[in-house]
Amino acid sequence: MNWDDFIERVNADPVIAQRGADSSFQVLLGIGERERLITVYAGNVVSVKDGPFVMPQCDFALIGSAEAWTRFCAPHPAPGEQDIFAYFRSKEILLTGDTRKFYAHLMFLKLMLLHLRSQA
Amino acid sequence: MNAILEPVTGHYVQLEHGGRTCRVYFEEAGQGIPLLCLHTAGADTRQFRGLLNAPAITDQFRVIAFDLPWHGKSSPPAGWQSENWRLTSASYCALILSFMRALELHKPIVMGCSIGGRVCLNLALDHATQFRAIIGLQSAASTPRYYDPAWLTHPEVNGPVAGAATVMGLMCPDSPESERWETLWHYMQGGPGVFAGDLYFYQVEGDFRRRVKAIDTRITPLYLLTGEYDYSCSPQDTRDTAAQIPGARVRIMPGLGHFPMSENPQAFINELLPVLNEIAAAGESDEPA
Repeated sequence: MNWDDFIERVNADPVIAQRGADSSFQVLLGIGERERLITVYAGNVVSVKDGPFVMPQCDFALIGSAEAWTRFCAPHPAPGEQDIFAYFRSKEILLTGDTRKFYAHLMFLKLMLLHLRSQA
Repeated sequence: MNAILEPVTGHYVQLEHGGRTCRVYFEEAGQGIPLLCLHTAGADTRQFRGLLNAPAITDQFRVIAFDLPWHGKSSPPAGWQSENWRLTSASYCALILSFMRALELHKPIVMGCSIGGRVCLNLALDHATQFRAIIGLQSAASTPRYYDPAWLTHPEVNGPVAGAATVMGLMCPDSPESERWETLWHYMQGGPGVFAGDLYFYQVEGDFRRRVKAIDTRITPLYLLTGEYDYSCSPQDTRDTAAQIPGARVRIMPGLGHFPMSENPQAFINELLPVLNEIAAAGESDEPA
């Protein structure tokens, strides 16, 4: 997973700036044993905190194995493994929390997650 | 005139459906064997813009695509404000056959994608003699529910944008960016509840797993073309369906996803042309009996 300059890259993305304008939410990523809490406010990522957390405040969480996230974040994911919904279908990544907020900010979320992809 | 004028023409036809009149929009281009195209859930005929503008196709085939009622430029019928769109196998087949009668299409090739690919199986089961050939794109007998489209109609969710976000990852990441975002624009213009109403057919009612083995491809050839990046109707889903249908011909399309004709029109045309040429070469008369 490519966390290098993640905040800067997401906030400089012109597509996110327009299509994700005004999004505000907190998402917890469960990546195997690791946790990352991403806070988005008014269309910008404002913080990424490394866990572990005790009762973290978040709107929703995406929980999967490190192996599943590694495949999702590959520079060129294998066919059928390029989107988190594919992992919902295979039950390798689970959504928990406020589903309404997940859908309300789904465009920002998906565009943001693409920045976790390593460079080819 | 210096402007680029596309060879696509659009018309409205008034169809009787469910006891009411529906004002249905369709586009067409080309001449020859009619190729009736069915768009995906929550979208419209613009998905076939590449085919409608491709001389390699339109020199030999009359490409016709219509917007389902409530979709694209087809209006919902009068009284829509007190009901919701909900697609079913019976209503979908009835609309297709009604459109064919209205335009006096004799034995067209029918080609549908996603929900259109699903209904192709229904047409092959119950109306095969009315078609020269049937081409299901991203077609399988069923799809498991791995998300709930009811959220797309929640008052605190921007349904069309969330719908576009839902489907954006179904495309191959290497498909041209402009075509992928054009495809998403169609979703962003969808009417409230329409995508979810289509998915009732796709996820719930239109389950043909117990019936597809009865499809007789000796009556009408059946082709199933699936983009390899699709995880909604995956290549394996298509293969599993085809395994139950003797004579079904499967083609897995590399570098394409759930919206082959829209996300990468040229790559799709390259995949489709051999199939269309095979159908044309089979030589069945397209003259009225």
